[in-house]
Amino acid sequence: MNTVKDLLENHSARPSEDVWQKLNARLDAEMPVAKTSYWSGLSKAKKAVAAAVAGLVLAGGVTLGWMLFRSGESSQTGEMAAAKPLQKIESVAESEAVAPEPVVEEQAEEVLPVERKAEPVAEKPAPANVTEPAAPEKVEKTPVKSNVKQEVLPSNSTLAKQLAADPVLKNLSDESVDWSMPAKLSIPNLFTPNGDGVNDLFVIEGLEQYSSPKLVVRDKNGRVVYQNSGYKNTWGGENCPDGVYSYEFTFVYNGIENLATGKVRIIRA
Amino acid sequence: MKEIDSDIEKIIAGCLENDRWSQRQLYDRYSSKLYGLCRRYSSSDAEAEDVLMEGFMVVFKSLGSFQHKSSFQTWLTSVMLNVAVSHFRNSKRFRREVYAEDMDMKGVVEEEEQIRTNLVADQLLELIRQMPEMMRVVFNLKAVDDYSFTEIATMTGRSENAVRNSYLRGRKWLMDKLKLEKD
Repeated sequence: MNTVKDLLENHSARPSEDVWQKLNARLDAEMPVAKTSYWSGLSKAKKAVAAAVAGLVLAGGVTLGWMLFRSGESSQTGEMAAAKPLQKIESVAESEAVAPEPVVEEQAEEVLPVERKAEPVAEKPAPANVTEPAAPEKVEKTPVKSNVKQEVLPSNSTLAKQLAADPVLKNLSDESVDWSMPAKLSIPNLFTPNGDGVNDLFVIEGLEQYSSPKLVVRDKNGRVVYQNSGYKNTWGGENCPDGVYSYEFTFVYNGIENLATGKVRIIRA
Repeated sequence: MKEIDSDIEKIIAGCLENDRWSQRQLYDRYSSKLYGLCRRYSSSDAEAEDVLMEGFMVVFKSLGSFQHKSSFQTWLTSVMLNVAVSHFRNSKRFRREVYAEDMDMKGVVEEEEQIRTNLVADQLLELIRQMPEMMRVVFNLKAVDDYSFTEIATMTGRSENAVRNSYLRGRKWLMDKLKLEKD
């Protein structure tokens, strides 16, 4: 039973829609769509359609106006004078209306199946149907603190048993781990620089395992009272009255910088 | 020979031509699963979303290197996983590890009872996300994604011993959180 593995491996969740928006913006910035791709072709086609529609509307409007004007027939000279330019406009409008149409079809042919045109990015497809069957999606943004009362799995005792039998959690002692090596430092929280030869220095045990040991000590007001970027366990609280100090100890292990912070008390009495 | 349905092949082909529609299809198909992965490698949803986005950029840019040697899903997962690991590797958040691990554990003790009685997949996830950075990354790689200690050491830039210890500590950590009996 690999309960832990299964539960975690099968975890899926839907990211918020923002992520795609941001991703889309980054794609536009870093991988701009080339002019030859059908996507830009599509928008050209759309423009053509829009132009055609506008042209038709314009032509219709002009024609209508012209007919109304003509039916008025108040002044013959006016009619002749006005009709000519109007006709011109009409013909222009008509040619506009007609011209783009072949373009539209031409584009549409290049443009792959028609249904694809219908749902460009703007539309949000229903991903639940598209995604794999394995993913019953939970949109959950539960903050860490409120992870209560969402009983989904079988009774907790069963689960607890399953987890207890999980190879990941079982037989911890069997694991052969080499504890001898690394990562353990012991930093004192108190030392007594009174010259009695015991505990007179701020000694960090395990210090020698690491490179670039750097110590910075500050007093209560944040003033630096001691610093050494090659610390060798030599600080004895010089010029520091009894009290509590805070230290920052950085060191490099396996090429990674580590930081340990804490407080240390100086007592001389 | 792995089978890949022709639908995905078309989408992949579209993505290779940098076609937005195909990219969106790919995203819709796989983002939930991959987001799940990002979530268990990160400590917050915001961080997970960053990693997810970064990962998809890498996917779109390096799709040409997908050789059909494994299933597409497997390839995607491994790309995303690498992005997730290097995200944390670069984030300098491996700092503080030495002491942070012990301290972090105390902060959440009072929640133990609730966690034990209401344990579900999501809560297991929440526990994982409360782990210190390095512990979480190692635990995920080892326990869930089946990498060897040697591989993990290479991926995270740490020694094999450090990785082993992180993993062991991770298991103990989880065990303690779940208050399970050790045997």
